[in-house]
Amino acid sequence: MDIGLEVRRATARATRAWRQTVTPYVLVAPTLLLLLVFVAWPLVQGIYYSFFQTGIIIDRNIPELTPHYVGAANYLQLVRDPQFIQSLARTTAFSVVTVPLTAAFSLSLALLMKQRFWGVGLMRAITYWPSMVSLIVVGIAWKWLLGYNSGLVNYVLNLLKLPPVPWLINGHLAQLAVMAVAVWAQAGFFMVILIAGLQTIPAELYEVAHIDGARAWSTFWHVTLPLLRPSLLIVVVLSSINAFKIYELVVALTGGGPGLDTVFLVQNIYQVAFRQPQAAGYAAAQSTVLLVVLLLLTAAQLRLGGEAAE
Amino acid sequence: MTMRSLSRREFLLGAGATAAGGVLAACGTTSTPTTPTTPTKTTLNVLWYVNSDQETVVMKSLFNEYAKSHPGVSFNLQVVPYDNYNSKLAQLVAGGTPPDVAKTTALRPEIQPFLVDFAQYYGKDWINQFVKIFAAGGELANKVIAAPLDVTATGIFLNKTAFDKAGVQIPSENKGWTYTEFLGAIKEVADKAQIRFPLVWDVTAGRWITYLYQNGQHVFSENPPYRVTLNQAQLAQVIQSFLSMANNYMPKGLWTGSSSDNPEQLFLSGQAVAWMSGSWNVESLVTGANFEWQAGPTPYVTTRSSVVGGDYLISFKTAHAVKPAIDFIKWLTAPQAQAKYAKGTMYIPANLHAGKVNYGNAMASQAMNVLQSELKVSPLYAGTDSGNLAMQYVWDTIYSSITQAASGSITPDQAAADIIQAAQTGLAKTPHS
Repeated sequence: MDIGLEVRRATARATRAWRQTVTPYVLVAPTLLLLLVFVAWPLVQGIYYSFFQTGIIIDRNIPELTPHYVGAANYLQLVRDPQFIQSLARTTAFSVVTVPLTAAFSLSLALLMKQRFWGVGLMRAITYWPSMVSLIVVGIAWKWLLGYNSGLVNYVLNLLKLPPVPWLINGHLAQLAVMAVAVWAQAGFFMVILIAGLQTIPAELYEVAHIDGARAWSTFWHVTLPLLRPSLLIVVVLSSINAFKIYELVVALTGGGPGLDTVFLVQNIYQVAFRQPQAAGYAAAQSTVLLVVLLLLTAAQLRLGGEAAE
Repeated sequence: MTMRSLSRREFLLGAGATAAGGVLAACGTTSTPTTPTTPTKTTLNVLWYVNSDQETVVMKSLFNEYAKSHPGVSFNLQVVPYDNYNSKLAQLVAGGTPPDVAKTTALRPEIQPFLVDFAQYYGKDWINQFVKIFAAGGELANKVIAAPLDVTATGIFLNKTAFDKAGVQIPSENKGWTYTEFLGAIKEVADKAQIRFPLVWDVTAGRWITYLYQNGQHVFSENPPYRVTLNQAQLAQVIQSFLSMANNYMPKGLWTGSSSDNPEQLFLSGQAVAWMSGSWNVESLVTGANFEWQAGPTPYVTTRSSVVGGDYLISFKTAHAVKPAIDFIKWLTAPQAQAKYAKGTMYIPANLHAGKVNYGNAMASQAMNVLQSELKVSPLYAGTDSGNLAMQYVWDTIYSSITQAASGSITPDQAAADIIQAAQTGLAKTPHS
């Protein structure tokens, strides 16, 4: 028996094992470092400063720029702040309406685009296109389309001898317009996720359903939908997060108007933090509430839909 | 070895946390360094907003002229859109990377402690060479924290071609006209000359406040000890009257804050008879309007008033090249450079010794003369309000209250109450000398 050979083999095995242990951490480290520096640390700072009265600029050498600890005062102020409550309620309503609509619209598109017909590739690309465009551009484009006095849609209505519609200058219509544009802008992206999900469903199941005489609706309800649930869950969770974070689309489309009718939570946080003097701590408290809401929402959705998906 | 895979549940939960964390992270605050240095070869970072492309050309020309007489100094001009400009400036200061020189209209409270006191470098009398009412806005507790660059005057622009076509006379500047006379005239012109809208009005708090002054009201008393002079019932009446004018003479929904209509574009394209704006747009009128136009007379309700505004130059104690920045600002606000800047950009120079500016265009010269003469007859509060640092707490509330009232979300009375509340808060939080 060659002891030297055995030692070399053992050393090689140990080296290989060490490499296998360490390599993943080395590979993950840059991303982890970026997340720690640019997300985790500022997040902790944000929560910390939500207990202070402070502006966005801190200098402990200057009395008026030194944060003052106020305990839970910022959080208590939230419940007395109609602007915050209204923006939270508006955002919740927006989420409740747009998430199911986005899922349903994306699913319809996915079912349609999964079919094999001439030009389906081009149709998929066109449907996906809005997802590739900046939401600012989407907002500006729709603003030009929906303008009351100079918008293209009202121009067409005028040609048809129909009265113009105050799409963006009536509070309720502006909210509906924001919802519709948000669904339109995201549907293509979620369609791709759902097409991928649809393609994982074995064709045999559809054949069996067909042989058993199942109708189209029954096949969709009993075969497609249950097996697509994991992908749908992703769509619902991600679109919920998008709904609560909505900002740039609204700023470009309505600027939060008319009045404050389309000011959602993130825009409200931005305006408080950057436009109101000495209010960054209060804005941080609002952001912490948003963090909690999103965590609860995501956990609840996973609990409701996740078990079946597993 | 086996790596534990991340479940979908964990991934999605993480996604939720990261998404909200991103927003929360944006609310994190930043401490700033405090020690300035003065390198011999210096690039001055200049943060600017422009009202026309011509202004960029003029600035670059002035940079070149300065660089020739000051070897070693070069410039990095960063032009930023005016929307959210002040937030961007505050963010740069918060990040510890303020520009060396910045143009601004708003001396926000959070940046004030970082601003260089020019009186320390130029002497206390230096500020006396500028239009007094505007220069006062840059003074804070015996310090001069902002150098006046140019002065602006709010006023009305009229489509003279349309008036001529309709056969409607524009009164002389001396005679002027009340809003009743003015609105009747522009409606007649719109009807006869087939123009879509009688009136467009910039949707900003700064333009709206002109109407407040023309009603003889103002936010703060002109002299210390400062107090809020607004009366809720009277203010509500002014708001109601403004909204009635907006509904009847302006594009529908213009003042809701979500309209896609741009007053400047509507006037320049000949779709509006009159445009309430200001002297900073004279250059775009000269280059963009293909009809004859004129400034004023600006109508009034009880009081003839413009609004004194303008741009300041500021520098920061935490900037990387404080001394070269201070030298450059002194040069740019001196009479010779002021005259060149004002002529090229078609602004009114802030320096009283810049002399009469030849704008090289008859309509521009007429407009500047009228707007400057309207400034002279304006009440004192047309300047002191804007100059009062407590106004930094009021501008946003004016905008949001009026747009909410215009969209019917709140009553004019509620809008008035909100504005008064913001003014009182501003006064309580602002130190005055």
